Amino acid sequence: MDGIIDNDLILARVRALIAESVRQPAAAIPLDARVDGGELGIDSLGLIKLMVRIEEAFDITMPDLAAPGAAPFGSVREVAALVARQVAARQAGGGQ
Amino acid sequence: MTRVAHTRAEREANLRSAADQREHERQAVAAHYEHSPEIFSLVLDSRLAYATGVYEHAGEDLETAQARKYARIAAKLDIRPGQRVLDVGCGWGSNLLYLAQHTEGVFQGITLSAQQREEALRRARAWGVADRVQIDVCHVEDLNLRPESFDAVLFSGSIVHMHNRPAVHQMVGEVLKPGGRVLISDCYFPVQPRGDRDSAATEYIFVEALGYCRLIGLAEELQLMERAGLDILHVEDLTRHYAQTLAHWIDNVRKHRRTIDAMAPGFAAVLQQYMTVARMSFARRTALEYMILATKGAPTVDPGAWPIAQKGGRS
Repeated sequence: MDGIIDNDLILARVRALIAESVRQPAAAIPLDARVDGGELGIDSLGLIKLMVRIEEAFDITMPDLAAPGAAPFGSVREVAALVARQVAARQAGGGQ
Repeated sequence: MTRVAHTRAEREANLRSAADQREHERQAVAAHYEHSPEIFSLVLDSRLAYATGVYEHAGEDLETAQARKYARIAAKLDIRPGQRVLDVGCGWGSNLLYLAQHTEGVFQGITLSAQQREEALRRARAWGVADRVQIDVCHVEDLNLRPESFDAVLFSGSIVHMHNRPAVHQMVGEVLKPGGRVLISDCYFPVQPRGDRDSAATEYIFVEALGYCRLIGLAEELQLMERAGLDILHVEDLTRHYAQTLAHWIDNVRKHRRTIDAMAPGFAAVLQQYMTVARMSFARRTALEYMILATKGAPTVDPGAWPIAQKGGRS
């Protein structure tokens, strides 16, 4: 994930991590499915584990789930976009 | 008192004999704390407090918040020269050694982890207090202490691992001298259930990550203490402080993820996951953190005289 950020690659990797966490093939995870809404069957612990896996995989910090008014994570595509932004921030030297 | 089991782990514990549950705690609880102290030293403050700090400001660092907590516990226990102190679940000696360095008391600690004992004794020697510090690997219910032989008993982040609370409080009531103090800093469930106590997240933190935990209601704990002959002196809520402490620990896990995983593969994720569950629970107040001070007989400390910052000028 160093150098040029490939958003398609990030989306594929995020989708694969989500698929892994619900023990499904990646193709079975619709890109517009909400990650945190129960649509994919991810409970609160599953969501926490997924966030940690994403942080490990991309060497980034995801938003604080416990922050007051923390934004819900949205769709697979939106999570991937969030990851891409964090990866870009890290590569710009800012990190999080 | 009817014993209401809040979680699956607790219901299972109720089905075991007392001896079997003790053995279960010895194995399951120790496992987490048997990880290398080197790992915890990357995550916790320099004295290795595995419990909440006390923050006066949002921007404070972990070291400052834990230093304030040590000083607060020292003030509450008010240990005089020669007084004997029992630290039940002393961990790596954070509070015990702070108290040994800042008072002239005599200290006995117990832990279920040989690693913790070794590290605490190493620190005791390095800090020149080993002659007043004894630490044993021992389950609280296996302690065989003389009645009225201690001036203070401390439980910091440890009583939550003990299923048989009536026996624990009975022991405290017996071993304290008249005027003795007991301090508990730990986690409680609100009486009116908030959140799912049988959720995968609860099971994860109480069983998978930490071996065995039994959260009860604050009033339940206080009543057990009163039944053991203790008078409650002071209770304060530190829930928000624990959420903040956990945020610092989680950031430290992130910072040292690779080093931790090199020492114990997969443990960084376990730490971050359980700490995130705990942080969310405290942030949402589905779990509460309290510090309790009680006395046997007439108190030697006076919480009524403790300062509370006044608003709107002097009265």
